[in-house]
Amino acid sequence: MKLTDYIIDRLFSIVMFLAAAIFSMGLLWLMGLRYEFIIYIEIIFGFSFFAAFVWDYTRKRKYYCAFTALFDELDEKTLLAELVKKPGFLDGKLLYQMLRLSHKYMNDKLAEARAANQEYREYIEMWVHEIKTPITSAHLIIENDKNISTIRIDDELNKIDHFVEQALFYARSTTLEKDFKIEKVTMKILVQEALKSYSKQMIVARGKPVFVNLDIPVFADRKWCVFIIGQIIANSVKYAKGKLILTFEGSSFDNGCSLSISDNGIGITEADIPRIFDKGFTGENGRKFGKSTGMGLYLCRKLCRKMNMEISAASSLENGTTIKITFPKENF
Amino acid sequence: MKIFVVEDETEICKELSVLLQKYGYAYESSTDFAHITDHILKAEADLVLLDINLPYQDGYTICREIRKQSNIPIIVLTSRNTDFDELMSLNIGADDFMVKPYNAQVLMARIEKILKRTYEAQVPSILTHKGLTINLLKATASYGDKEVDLTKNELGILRLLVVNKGNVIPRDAIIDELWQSDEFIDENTLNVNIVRLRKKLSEIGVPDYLETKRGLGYRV
Repeated sequence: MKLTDYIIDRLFSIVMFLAAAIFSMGLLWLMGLRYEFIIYIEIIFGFSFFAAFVWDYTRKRKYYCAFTALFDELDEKTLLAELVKKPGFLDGKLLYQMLRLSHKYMNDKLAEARAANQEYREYIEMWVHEIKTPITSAHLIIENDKNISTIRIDDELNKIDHFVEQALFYARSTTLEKDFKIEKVTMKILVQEALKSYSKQMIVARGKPVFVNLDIPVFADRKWCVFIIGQIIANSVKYAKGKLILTFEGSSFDNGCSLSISDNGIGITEADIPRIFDKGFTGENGRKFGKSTGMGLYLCRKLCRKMNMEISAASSLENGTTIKITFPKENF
Repeated sequence: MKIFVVEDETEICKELSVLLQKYGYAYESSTDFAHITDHILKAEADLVLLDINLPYQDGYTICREIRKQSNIPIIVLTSRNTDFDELMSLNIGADDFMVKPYNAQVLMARIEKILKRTYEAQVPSILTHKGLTINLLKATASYGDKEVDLTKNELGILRLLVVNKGNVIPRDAIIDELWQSDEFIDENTLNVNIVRLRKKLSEIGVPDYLETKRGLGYRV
């Protein structure tokens, strides 16, 4: 709270006081009072007004400074109304009252929204588990009668399975809890599992995986990482150019290790790179090739952040894209 | 070797029975879920495939009940793939945990592994078709009195074709099958493997066992 702001706020009362002082001075002068008395009276008026002004300014300043400081310090801003002190002046008291009421209303709404979100998430999880039963039956039916058409149905089933998986991970990514399990695995296991999941797409695209230095141990959630790597493989297959070569390269350094996944596909324009991890961003490639939802990489980054991992992209147009996942040294 | 399947989805039950019988296992299951533990113990099976979401009681309870009386190997098959479920299953004495949708070949491999470990016995992993016998355990193929050793890839190719005898299997599906067992081969490698397999089969007296359907795939 700045003094000038306060003066401007009180301008009307200052002007009125000055006017009153001048008029009363004129009146006293007309009455023929001695100058000393007039000045004395004016000083009494002026001093009382000034004292009241300063007193009001300091108490308000003190209160609002504490108020803003509290607001800045708070991580959870919704707690503001709980923690702020009740002011001693009337307008403050009124606002304080309103703040408390609106705070309570907001918290109720927030709790409602959280509960609804939780319920929805639980429904999605349940749904995912339900849908997996018919998918499993269908896979088994095909397994027992593999021929050209059933194998094609199996490929479609795998696509359904990938979408279902994405829905599950989306539901999981929206919660505040950390419901993942950090365990020690090697990059090789993660990459191989992801490749198996997207095997058919890779094979149809005549894709060749290349493994470089993948025997590096990492601390991460296996299922989450396999999902993330799977999304990246799916992208490389989608935006392939000619014969796809997908290189998985591990490297370790002082405070962690990283997995780089490089393809020789169509690449990403420089302008698009900073935004490819944004939700719903499809970019130029998405427009050209269609079928892009802008969800895959968004989820990758979200899941990575939850696990304290980093994900970044580098690309040169027409030459390919490299996605790099960095694992912290000991991620417990 | 007998396998008891505890699963309330009839479709899955039916298909698992076909799959298991293809691989030479005896199969039993029951729909009387109220007394399922008794049925399992009475069946004297060698392994149990156990679902978690079941009527009357969940798989965990059944698993605990079985463990009170028997050390029979149990593989939990479930669509609930949270870490809690995995930990829970292994804590109450299941030997393995697989999440739906599982790959059938991986399931068969795990069953085989656990049976071998538990009973130290020969698992009936023998496939026969048109006089050719494939021993999945020893990785050999024999015809009459002649026998030949197969590499991992050759065995995988032959197994896939024999299990689906009579059907044409596309080349991509064969490559996929090998990828699922960590062999990330490409088309050229498949060609080499097919040529070698043909040569080995003609050495033991079945030269035209593998039939090529041009542009489609292979068939036995």
